Amino acid sequence: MKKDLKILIIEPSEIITQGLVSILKEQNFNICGIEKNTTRLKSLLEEKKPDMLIVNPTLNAPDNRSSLYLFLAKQPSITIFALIYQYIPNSILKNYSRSIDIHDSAEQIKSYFDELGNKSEENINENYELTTREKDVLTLLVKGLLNKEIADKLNISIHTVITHRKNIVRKTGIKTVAGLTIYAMLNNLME
Amino acid sequence: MKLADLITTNYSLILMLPRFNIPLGFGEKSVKEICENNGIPVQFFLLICNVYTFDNYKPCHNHFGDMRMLIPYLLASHTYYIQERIPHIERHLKKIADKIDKKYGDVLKHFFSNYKNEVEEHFSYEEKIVFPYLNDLEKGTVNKQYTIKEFSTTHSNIEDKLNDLIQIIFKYLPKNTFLNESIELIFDIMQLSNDLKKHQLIENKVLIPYVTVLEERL
Repeated sequence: MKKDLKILIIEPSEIITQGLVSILKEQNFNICGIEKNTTRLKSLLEEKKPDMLIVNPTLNAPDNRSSLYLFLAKQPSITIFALIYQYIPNSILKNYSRSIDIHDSAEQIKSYFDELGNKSEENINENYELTTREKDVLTLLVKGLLNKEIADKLNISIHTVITHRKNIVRKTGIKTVAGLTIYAMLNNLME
Repeated sequence: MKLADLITTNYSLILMLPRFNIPLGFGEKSVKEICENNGIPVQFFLLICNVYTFDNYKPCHNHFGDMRMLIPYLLASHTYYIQERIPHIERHLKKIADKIDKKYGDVLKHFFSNYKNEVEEHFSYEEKIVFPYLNDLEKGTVNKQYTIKEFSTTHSNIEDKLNDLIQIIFKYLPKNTFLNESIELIFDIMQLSNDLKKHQLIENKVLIPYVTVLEERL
């Protein structure tokens, strides 16, 4: 999944860009473009269709009127990382998915992308129905078992039980055990 | 400010009228005038309206002036929920439950009747323990065994189950072809759920801090 991520880098400093590229190349990312400024940003987005932008937030927006992040906010399908080497106020940074600080180690930078890879995979496999495992957890939950007991019974960790429970609540929109009990009955999950 | 204008800015505030025993038909009278005519401390009336309207409103301690209407207000709200809204919703839910597969209908009725008991218990704890404790504090004759902290840590939310019920009615009830009745019921439940949420805010932002102030004065 993450190998197919197309990354566009917009950064004026060649030293920084080269460093970043060499770290990313180890990960087999597809770097579809490197730009020193935003003048061609609009056409590049159309032409290259990147999944991700790594951009220096101190640059101006292509139209020179709005700030860069206002322009980027109109690109919801693209994940945008800020590349920073100086203090940038939080009010600006909060508009980016994440920031890469030039002092971050190669390991740290890789981990940011791993997170992202996992996330996109999750989104693609998003299944709105409960999985078999979630149904198992649900039936034990509505029988009145505690997280620990459910974990023992299914041979999984408590942490995993909690994750399943979170997913059950997210998918059904039902928060209380009493509500989930009805859900289980209506869906014939109870013997 | 005219009371009519206040209510026009947030129509839900019309629910304040029965709780403060204010009759309708007040014409163009001001909030102050109406409160004075009905023996309500204006500051307290506005405090409740503010908490009720703005979720982020945080009263400071010097907003706690004449608080003698606090318990009557909370009691009136309890009565409204227990004697009017919940029975109303229960009747409508029963109508739908009786029309669908009995097995599912019974589950729904059972869920709601449990919910009703839970709410009654919740209110009854407040009425039997917390309100008398507040009365004692105000009179200075206090039972040291109890502190409001006990209440604030156990004060549970009672609207989650209503929100679950809404999800169940519109998503999961099999062969529910009673669209109009269901929508009407969902609106009623939503309204109660919002009202209970505000009620909880009033208890958390007014009742608990006020009692804490009184405890500190001991």
